[in-house]
Amino acid sequence: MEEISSSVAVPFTLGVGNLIQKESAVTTHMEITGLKLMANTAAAALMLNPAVECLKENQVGAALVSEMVIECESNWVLNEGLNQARKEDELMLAVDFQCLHSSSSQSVANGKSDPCREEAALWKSSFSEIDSPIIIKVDDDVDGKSGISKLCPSTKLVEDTVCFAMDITNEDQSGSDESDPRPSAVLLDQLPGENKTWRTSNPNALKLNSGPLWGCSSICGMRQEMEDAISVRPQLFQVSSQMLINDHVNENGKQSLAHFFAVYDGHGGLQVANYCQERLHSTLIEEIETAQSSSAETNGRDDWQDQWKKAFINCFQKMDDEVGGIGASNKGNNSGGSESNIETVAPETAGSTAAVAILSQTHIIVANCGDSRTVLYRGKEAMPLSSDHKPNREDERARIEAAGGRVIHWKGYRVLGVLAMSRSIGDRYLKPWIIPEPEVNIVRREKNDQCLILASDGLWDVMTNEEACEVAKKRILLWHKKYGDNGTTGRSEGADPAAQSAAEYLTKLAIHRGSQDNISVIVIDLKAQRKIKRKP
Amino acid sequence: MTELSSREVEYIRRHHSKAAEDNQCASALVKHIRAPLPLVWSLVRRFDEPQKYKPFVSRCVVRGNLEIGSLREVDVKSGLPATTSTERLEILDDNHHILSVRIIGGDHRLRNYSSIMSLHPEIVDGRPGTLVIESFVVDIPEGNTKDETCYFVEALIKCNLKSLADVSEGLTLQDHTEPIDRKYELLITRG
Repeated sequence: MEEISSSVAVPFTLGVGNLIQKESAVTTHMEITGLKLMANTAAAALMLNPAVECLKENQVGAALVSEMVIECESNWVLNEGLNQARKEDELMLAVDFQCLHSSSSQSVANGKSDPCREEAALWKSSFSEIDSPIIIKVDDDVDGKSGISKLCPSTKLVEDTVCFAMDITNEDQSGSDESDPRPSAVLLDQLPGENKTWRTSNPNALKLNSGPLWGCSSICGMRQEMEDAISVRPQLFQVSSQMLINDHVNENGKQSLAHFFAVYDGHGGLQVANYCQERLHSTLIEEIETAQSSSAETNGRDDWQDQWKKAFINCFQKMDDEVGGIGASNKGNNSGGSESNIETVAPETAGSTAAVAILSQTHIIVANCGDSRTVLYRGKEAMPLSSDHKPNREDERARIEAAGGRVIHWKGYRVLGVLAMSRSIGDRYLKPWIIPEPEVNIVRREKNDQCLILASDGLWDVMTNEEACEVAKKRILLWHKKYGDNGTTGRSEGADPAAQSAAEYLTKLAIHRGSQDNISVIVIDLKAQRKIKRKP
Repeated sequence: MTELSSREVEYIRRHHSKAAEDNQCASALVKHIRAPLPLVWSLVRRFDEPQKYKPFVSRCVVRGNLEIGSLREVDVKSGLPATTSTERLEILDDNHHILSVRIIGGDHRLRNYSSIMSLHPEIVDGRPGTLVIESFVVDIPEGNTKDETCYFVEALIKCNLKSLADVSEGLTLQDHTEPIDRKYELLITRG
């Protein structure tokens, strides 16, 4: 298989990135200090660097957008004149922590409840120190007079930063075009002018073909090593209409752009999650093209939803085979009958979850393997689009035991008492009980869809679906309330600052809630236009 | 349980005879490795570097000198129902190739865990190989059955022994070991 470089770094961009990284390290440390977390500089650096690397691998421009937003927040901390903004942010965090903590239905593992209670006590103390006028303002969702005037300067600063970041993003994508020979990975800039015009003239949310409004955050958290990985590929490929509806009459069906999002939560090592981050999306494209060709050959008799399921199942199986050392690259590697295979991508005890979401104009297609999760906020309902693969899920236990394995309760239900999930990519030593087969779910988009959240269990272990969705929506609306009047028109590249704010807030909240794992979150705002009237 | 040869039974009787209490479970596992005993032993005896062949170990630090009674702090890789393990070196016999380790603390559910590994030379397909026997005794945790406990520990040991075989045989391929030499023949005769 030919190795294709998925991103090209322009020297200027890389230089700027390096500078921002250093500043961001300080920023993160200061933020952590401000949030009264116990952390040393090394821990802060460890938390930041993997996330930055992850972002850079996916999209240098996106990383820059993310870091610049963080830099702005840093300026707020440094600027005494904007102290109120910082207080407000802390207050929001405290309020959310208070409310969510008291209503939490999650059980806390033995031996880990004390730190959580201590944290709650700390925040109660902190909460009581805040004077009531601010509380009233937040509850009523009304801006304080002085707050408005103080925030104005930073509003302009944010606008300038976002514009600058967009320029860098475009520059980076230009470089990417030259290095990407895959015809199916058509980027937005390459669309005919006619489509661009059409895009501009159709404000309808469901038809708008602009880039997705996404943000992501990935932090090491309480673990010693970072084994999570995130993959965001806007405009990854075009989907033919035959892959979205049972429409076989019109052979010249239109094609629409599809966006790719994924969270990989590795365990026993980072090798499998990193491999999926690098390869899963391109393998999926190959499988989709195969499915579309197959559909053409059979005159489209195959159900389009079955085609998606086959494509995902084949894709995940290929990833599992490749990390296990099975594949073209190992042909001819005769090791004299030895079981050992030096060419394996990962140790046989390393594995990863895979939570993948494909976002098209009309549908959301989700594939899940393991215990990361994808949740859709539709209207006022949090809809899980994936079902966690836990060993004590009735059908999973039955499958494992039918294959001669056992599910043993050993610090939670585990396969052979060892692994806490029943499906994953990798984990060769636990086959045939651990399988890489994804469950695929396809839902049609609706006008009242609010946002989509993909996250690892570092988030879901300390937060319900409803809580995460409500917090994400609240943060998105809050961002637009503060900055929405400026600089949001025509934005279609890189991370969306409102969604980014929501993703970062969720990871912070998970730490406050006592999460003991790596935390990775992707938030996608599904409302194409958010115009919030300011109350006079 | 796998059928054991009389030779293996004799090895177990001689080196692995620790009895299990009522609230404990015990078992022994056998692994045939296509690698010469000195090579396999060089991996097994590294009390300070178990990660050389144990796939679940991410880091290991030994306190003080490497001798009987030494303690090692083992960090366990993610995904397992353990994060750390404090272990004591009980036996390190370079003449009879025996290693014994006891777990005395850490974040896991294995209490009063003690294991013995013994290595014995053998011939596999005309080449020098190693018979590895590992036995263990451990308390049955509250809430689990004896059967479950044995099943869990055996699963981990099987994984360790398979990895030991993979690493040893991989190194053997690199060394291009020759068939039986005179010294090795003497080892087998005496064993």
